[in-house]
Amino acid sequence: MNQGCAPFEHELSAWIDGELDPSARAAVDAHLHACERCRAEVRELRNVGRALRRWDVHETQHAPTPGFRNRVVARLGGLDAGGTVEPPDTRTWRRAAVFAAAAAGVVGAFVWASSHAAPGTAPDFAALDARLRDVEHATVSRASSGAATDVPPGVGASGHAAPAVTLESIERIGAVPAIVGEPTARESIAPQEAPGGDPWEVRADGMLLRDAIGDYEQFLKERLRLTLEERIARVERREAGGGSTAAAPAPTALAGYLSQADLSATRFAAFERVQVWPIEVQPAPKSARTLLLEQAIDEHVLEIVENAGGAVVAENTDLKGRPVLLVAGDVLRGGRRDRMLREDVLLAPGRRVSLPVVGASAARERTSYRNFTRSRLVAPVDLRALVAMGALGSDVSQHDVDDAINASLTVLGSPFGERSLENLWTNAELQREVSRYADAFKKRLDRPGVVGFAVAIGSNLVGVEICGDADTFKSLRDRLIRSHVLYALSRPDDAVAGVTPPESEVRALLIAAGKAIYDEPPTAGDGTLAVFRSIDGRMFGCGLLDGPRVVHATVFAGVPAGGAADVASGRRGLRRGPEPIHPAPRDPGSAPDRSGPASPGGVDVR
Amino acid sequence: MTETDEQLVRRIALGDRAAFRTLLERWEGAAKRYAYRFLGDYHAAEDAAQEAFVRVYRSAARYEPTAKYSTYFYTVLGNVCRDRLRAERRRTARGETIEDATTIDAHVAGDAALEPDRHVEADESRAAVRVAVASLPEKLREAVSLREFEGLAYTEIAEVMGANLGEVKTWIHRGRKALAPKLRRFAPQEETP
Repeated sequence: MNQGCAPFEHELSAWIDGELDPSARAAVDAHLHACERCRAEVRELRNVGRALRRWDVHETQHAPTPGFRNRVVARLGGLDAGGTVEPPDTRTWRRAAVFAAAAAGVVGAFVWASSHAAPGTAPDFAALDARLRDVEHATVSRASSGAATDVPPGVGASGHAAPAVTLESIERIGAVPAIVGEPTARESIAPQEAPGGDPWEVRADGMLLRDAIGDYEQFLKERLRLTLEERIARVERREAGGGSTAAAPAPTALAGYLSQADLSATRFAAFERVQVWPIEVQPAPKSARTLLLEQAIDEHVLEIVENAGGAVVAENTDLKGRPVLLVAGDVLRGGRRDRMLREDVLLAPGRRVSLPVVGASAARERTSYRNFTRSRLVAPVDLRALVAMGALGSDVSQHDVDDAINASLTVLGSPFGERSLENLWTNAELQREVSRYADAFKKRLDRPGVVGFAVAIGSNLVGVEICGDADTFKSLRDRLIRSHVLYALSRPDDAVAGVTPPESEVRALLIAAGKAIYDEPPTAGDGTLAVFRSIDGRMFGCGLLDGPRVVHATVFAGVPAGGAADVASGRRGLRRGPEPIHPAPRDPGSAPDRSGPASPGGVDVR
Repeated sequence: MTETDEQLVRRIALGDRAAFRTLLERWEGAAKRYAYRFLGDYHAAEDAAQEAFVRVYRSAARYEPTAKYSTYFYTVLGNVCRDRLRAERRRTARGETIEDATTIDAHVAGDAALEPDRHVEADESRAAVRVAVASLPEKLREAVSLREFEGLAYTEIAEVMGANLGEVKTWIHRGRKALAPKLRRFAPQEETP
């Protein structure tokens, strides 16, 4: 090492591990560029890791064994863990308790909780609750007396704008109704006695379980208190943070935005199975500068890594101050299994968050390849709808998602590919077909002022994709179109026959979205999530806001038939679709449009 | 959706057996692997891993939801392993003068001697790598292990080891530098992504 290398020598390991801050990393980058000695040193240091992982003791010698689990349980004093008796399924009755609480008024749940609390030990929920309602009520009345156009009439009148304590928030927090709803179950657990004689509970130290429950109650109450306080703080911050328009709660800002959206004036005919209407918002919103996932990875400002516990952690290291936008449905390739993003995430520069993801492939054998390096694909829209339903409180498990992915792969995937959603990108024939549609629609949507589009497949209106400004839409456009086209291509012919829905149906959908019930679930990144659904639950959607500004939102006109609907209605297993697609290029001159003209006097612009 | 470790621990605190079984399945391999590197003995490693899970179960109700499960677990497991090493040291006649590395070295060498196919090149390589790692001082070995095998970030390693970031950075670098000449011939030829 020569003199010039000295300051960098000790940084090399940290550089390899990506642990340097951006300016230090840039300095080492520059030095390595010029110094072969240090490059050789880096290679040698890297080889250490490679050698370790290559010659580490056989994985099999540390592989899980049933005996291990049994022995652990035996040490705990329980019986052999080989039995298959599962704890009682508490979900159905807990859900009933929650709905009962909701019907009685959401306050009821919290009053309930505080009345059961041991005096002097539990947080004062009644007071917290009252304070929360005061703060929220002040917000609502200010919103409704102020810029009235921002508050949809239905929402304002019922006083439930920006509900702080919702069905979903109770369920997310967990078992408060479970505890207060089942005091008898708790009291019945005593040493030497257990319902059904389950030996797990019958132990000399049955005290352990009872104490654990007592501890757990306390623990949950603390969590609940923290959550409520956080919500109060959040609402108070919003109050303090802005002027009269910024005081409007974020989910309501989305409702207002959707109410202002409308179809643009130009008319188009459907392209083969699919109709796409451009959407504009007046007045045209100001442009925002965000980076998308792919570009951020290509520019090395976004690192996504899977850690030992299986969490997928993303960090935005952009020096130019640009936030990164990851969109629900983005597929990340890498790690022990590919992942799909469950919801939109906005990541400010310097932030590092654990991404809300769901598995998108079969698990791989252990790999030292922890980085997610590539994403070209957004999942088909029916899969995104399924995951969005999960965000709204429907019971959607990884198993359901796997079924839906398998269904997509059965119809659309290449037979030679890995069992991963990413296969839909690597299937070149499929992507060529998708590109045909995407090119056709690009021309319609590449106009100033267009911030989104509505989609129908055959006679079924699928939904709306909309962004907060034209530039963001332009960046997301291609991915979003592909997401819908993939779904369209997965539908059998008879399911997509029929006349294109009229524009009035699209407008009705936008109006309904403006009037829906909104909620604000916890957000992983920066910005605020908003989820919404109509009273009857048929129309639903989700969106991401950055303060009062909408970033992106998706409105689903119903549960898309196919993978998502089948799963939601409880029908499991692979859906036997039509033959996998190896589409022959269609002769553009001869293929007739199966749907009728969009409206009289329609102009066909392709 | 797939439950996180943190969610599983919440359910375990309620006595949920299935959640505990799931957690065991997920972490058994990593636990044994980590303990093995600490203790150098398969049986001791399995024993330590079991003990760690028992401790996790017993303290599930006290688990802080803000702490990541992985760092919590490695801390518990590290404590179990260190307790064992201390007990081991007390048990042997040589007492305080025993370095952890020497103890492990003996174990590792002993294991290697028991392996049936000692003369197979692959096993020799494995044994050589093992000995090289075992020869590192405790802190360097632990830091390098947590990084290279468990994939923890520096901040996580700092949390598990109760050290600061600067120390972790130094330990990892010095550990790698120490291992580099010993492992030079064992690195695979292919490029990893």
